Amino acid sequence: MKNKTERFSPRLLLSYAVLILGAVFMLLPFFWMVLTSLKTRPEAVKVPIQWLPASPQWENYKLIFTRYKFSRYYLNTAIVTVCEVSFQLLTCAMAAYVFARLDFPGKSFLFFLCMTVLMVPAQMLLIPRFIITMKMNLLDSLAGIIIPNLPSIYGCFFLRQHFASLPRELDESARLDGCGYFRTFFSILLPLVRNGMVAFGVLTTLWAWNDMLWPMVVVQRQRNYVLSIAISALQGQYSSNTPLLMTAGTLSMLPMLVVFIIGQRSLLSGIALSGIKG
Amino acid sequence: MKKVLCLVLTAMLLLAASAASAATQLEMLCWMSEQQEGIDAMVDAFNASQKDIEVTVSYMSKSAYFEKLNIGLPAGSAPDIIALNVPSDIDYSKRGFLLDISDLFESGAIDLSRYPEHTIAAHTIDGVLHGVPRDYDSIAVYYNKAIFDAAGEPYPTGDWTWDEFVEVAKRITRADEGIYGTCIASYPNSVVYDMVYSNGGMAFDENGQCVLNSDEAKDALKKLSDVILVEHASPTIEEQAEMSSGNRFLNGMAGMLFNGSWSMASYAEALGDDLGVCALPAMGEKPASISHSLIWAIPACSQNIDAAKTFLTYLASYESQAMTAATVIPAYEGTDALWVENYAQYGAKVFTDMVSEGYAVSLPYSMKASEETYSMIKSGFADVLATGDVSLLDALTEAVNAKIAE
Amino acid sequence: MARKRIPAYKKREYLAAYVMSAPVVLGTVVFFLIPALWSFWLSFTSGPDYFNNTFVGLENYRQLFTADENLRYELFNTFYYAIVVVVLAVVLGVLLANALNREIRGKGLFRVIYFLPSVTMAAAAGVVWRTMFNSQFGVINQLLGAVGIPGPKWLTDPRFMMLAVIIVGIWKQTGHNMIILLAGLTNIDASYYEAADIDGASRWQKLRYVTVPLLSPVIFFVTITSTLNALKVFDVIYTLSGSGGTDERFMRYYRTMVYGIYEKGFQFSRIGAASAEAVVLLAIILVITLIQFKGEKKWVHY
Repeated sequence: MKNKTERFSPRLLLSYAVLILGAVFMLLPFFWMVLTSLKTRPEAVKVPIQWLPASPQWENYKLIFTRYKFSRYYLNTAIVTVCEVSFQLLTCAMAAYVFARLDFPGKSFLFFLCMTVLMVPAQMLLIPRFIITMKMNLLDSLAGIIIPNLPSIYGCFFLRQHFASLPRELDESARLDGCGYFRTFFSILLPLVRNGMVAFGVLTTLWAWNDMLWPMVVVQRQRNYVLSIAISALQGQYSSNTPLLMTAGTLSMLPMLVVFIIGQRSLLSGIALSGIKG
Repeated sequence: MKKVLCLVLTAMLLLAASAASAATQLEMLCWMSEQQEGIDAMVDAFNASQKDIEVTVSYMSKSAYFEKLNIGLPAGSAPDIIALNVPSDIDYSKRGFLLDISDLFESGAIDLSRYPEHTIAAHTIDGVLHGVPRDYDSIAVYYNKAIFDAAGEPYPTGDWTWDEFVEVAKRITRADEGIYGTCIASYPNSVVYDMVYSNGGMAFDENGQCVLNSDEAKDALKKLSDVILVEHASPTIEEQAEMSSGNRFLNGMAGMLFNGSWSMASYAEALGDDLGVCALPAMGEKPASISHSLIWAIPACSQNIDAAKTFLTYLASYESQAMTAATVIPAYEGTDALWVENYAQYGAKVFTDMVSEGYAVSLPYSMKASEETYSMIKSGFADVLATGDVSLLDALTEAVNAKIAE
Repeated sequence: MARKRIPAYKKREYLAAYVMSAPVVLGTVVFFLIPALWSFWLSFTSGPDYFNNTFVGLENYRQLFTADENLRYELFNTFYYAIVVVVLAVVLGVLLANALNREIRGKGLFRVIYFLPSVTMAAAAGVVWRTMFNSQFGVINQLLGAVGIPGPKWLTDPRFMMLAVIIVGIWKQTGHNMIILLAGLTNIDASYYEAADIDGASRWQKLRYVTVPLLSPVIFFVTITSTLNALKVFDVIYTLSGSGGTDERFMRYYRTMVYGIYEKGFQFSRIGAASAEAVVLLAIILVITLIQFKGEKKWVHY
């Protein structure tokens, strides 16, 4: 079989074809969402489907910020996300290190207990968390959204796997050099799980940005809304302004897209270090 | 790390700064975001008229709104003013979550004679009215003139029997093009109950027991399902699950639709001059239109009861209710005429006539497990309309009564 | 046996452990564990609010298992969804991560595209997909029709309804898994692959004998989290099924355990019953997770 260059092997072409097909599948809803945000209301619900708007209505993008005051919600969501993510990055990495490397009485029990928390459906916890937050006088505030969401067992578990996969010799040589546990964690091991930290950072940013269940329960006044609540509030009782909804959806997605693109490059350029010479 | 701390501090300062204010802060929450302009106008007018109380209003989607109340009220945390519909006010009232405002009625600050009888009766639970009626609605037939023109059919004028209605629906149906004469949905309040009551049946009797297994009810449901399954003048329940009756009408795919006055604004915007309204057909001796209404109420756990009562009195007034006349029929005497004026060209008077001429029936609800039984009934109607089997109503009635008895 | 004295260095280890894990552990106890226990307590009560409730013992559970007609649908749908989505989302995730770890043109773009679904709000995604699945006018059936396949009634045919949900679930979860797996892949030292090349391993063999074992801790993590997400799925199903206004005759093919919890707790205000169902779901998840951890010992290499 004639192979001009490696590049054009049938196997590679097949891979590309599959990847492209998959990409179309992934992108289809977004095309629809973005295109619909530019349609008029009748065009959006028209049947049979009209893919492209007759003429793009950029109105909605302006309205979102002027009439519907989304800039406030952007700010709120950004504050919530930044606070949650930064706290989680540090504390989860520490806890992950502890569970992966250190030994202490009650370790398995504690780990198991924390894992159980992951298994509980969020709806079950909603009311008790609400009451606790109420008793702490944190209702209807951004702090009320942030504080109960600060502990992340998901993060611990995720980073634990990364720490666990580092060779133990690193710890030992650090110990021989006279490093205490925190130093070992901070200076030696943490840099090695950088990719994991970035991945976790990106994931938790996305999660915090899109979260609706908890903020919806805590927040009451419109000025404390985050994006997810504001978008759902755009749905009218009997009819929805579909293009407006799609506009809001598109706009709320864009910052996350940027976050991901930036984070993704960091992943790409990170090179694995084995840490052991020779 | 430092950057984060700064951000957090700034955030907290922002929050603290915005909280400081001398006037009593009242919070109002509702879900009717299509009425936002009118409600905002009401609130702004109130705030401008005095300096002691400042009201902020927030909107949420209906499901989120009730979720919040369902979670917050039992915990003792809620906004100061809320809007309530029928199942929710029964529920909250029975559980003691609403403030008793009878002093406002007794002192004459709120004159109950200014509101339609049925709105007051609907929300009086165990003899106590916990809120102020803010609007009411009724059901009529919306029709699409373009579809009638295409079939060469004269526009309906109301005052017609069920059989006449079905004939007209058949004549304007063009099923091969996906255009149906009407759309029989399983909604109790805008379709099924209206016909059941018109036919002489009832949903619940005086003892609160479900009586949907009566012959009149079964007959009504049979006639409704025949339109779908026998006359083929309406899309099936399956088809409606994919595209609701409301959306079909908006898209010009349904010639006539039983729906409430609440849809007036959006149908007018979508269909423009093609929109017409006429009265419901009478399945029995006379037509019946379910009329539902909302109230403004104050949760008992509110921290600012006096201020809330003052604001509530304002909400009960002609001036404030008139401001929402663009999108709903307000309850205060005389304000409904304003709504009719807005939509007179479509024949909107039909809606208020249904009430003033005595055809209105308050939305029937069970006094127990109202949310759940409503859901069961709606699903039960869907089953009957999908299969044409009215004996299912027996099982439904049993199940509902079992739930009530729990 | 005489009690061993804990040596000083061990004490330091314990101290470090407690201090460093304190923020997370304490936070979890206050905001997750206590609420979970409280909810567990609520499942044994029935009452007008959260403080004045009456203890009813196992009544809520009894009702759930004997009188609740929805439970069997909820159980079936939960498992059906979870099994299919987890298996496919993990397998596809591994294949994708592997494919996009090599030198392929447009690799960065593909990564972004595949991850995009995870970036959307589940609720917004549900609304869009619902329109796309419309049997007459939706994009999916139009595309299927273009290649000669008659499109099914995704939203009203019981055979396809859950399938539609599953498709959306895979759509959303795969890219998420892919990213996590990619992070793990970059940690695998190239020297392993070089050694495999020297031994003459094929691409498939490299995947099976080098990549997967070395990646197994991350695969394990991705499986666990995908399973947890799948068993607790809600937003997508809620919006795909029509955001709550749907008749029971359709809803029974969509409802999962979490949907049942939501409906009982937040629509019907039956907190006790909702908590009972939540406890049952928790028990199921617990068992499944324990089984997965047993699997960890067998299959995961550190």
